[in-house]
Amino acid sequence: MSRVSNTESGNMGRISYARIRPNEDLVKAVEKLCLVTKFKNAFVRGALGSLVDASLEHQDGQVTHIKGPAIEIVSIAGEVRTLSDGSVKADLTGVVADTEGNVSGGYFVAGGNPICMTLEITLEEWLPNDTKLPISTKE
Amino acid sequence: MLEYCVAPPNPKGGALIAYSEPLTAGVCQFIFGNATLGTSAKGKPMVHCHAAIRTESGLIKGGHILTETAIVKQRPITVLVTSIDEFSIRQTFDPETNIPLFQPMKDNEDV
Repeated sequence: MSRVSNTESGNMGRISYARIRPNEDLVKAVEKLCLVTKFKNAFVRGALGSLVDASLEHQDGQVTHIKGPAIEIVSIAGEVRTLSDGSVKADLTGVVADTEGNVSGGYFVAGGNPICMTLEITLEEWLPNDTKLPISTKE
Repeated sequence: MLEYCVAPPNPKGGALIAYSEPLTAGVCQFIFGNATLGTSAKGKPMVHCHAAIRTESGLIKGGHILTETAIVKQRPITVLVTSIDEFSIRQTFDPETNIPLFQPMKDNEDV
């Protein structure tokens, strides 16, 4: 078995569902939703909708720009964390389909994924037992 | 059997994009997707589903699934559902995009 480090225990809390409107940025909108609902930490439970264009970052740092409109959001996985300085950061990864149905995947770049017609998103609040646990994030 | 569509720009105007003509995926594999369960403008149950599929010809594609005509074969699809108590999700006309779409509404809220 692989070695597991930095496990976290806690409970799921509230559920939040929102419809995000056109031209909001995907990543920023998820962060704003957490601020509005006062979710310190959350997981994406489900999401679908469309983007004007998509910007997806890959493991080598390359960013793919996919031209719409509209790019269909097939799925989003990820989490939102409140960092020690009080700021909120969403790390979202997912799969999109272009106007011919071709699929791509990657990390959604903050500021690079404007919503086209709608985003339907469900977040689930995460309540860790130890709120002082050091939280590592991807920079 | 499954049909899906994509959302290219709408040459007729009115709304920025329009769903394409149905694309036939044939007998396909449903890989993964997301759906919102709500109520249509006519008050009927409605599923808005986007998914990645493997088409009958072996291509991996994605888009908006035409759920009304999608038929599940012998091998079932597992779904995890979260139900929400305090409001309903209804298809209502959105003046900003000029199309009807799912929006959270209070149970007694008029459209």
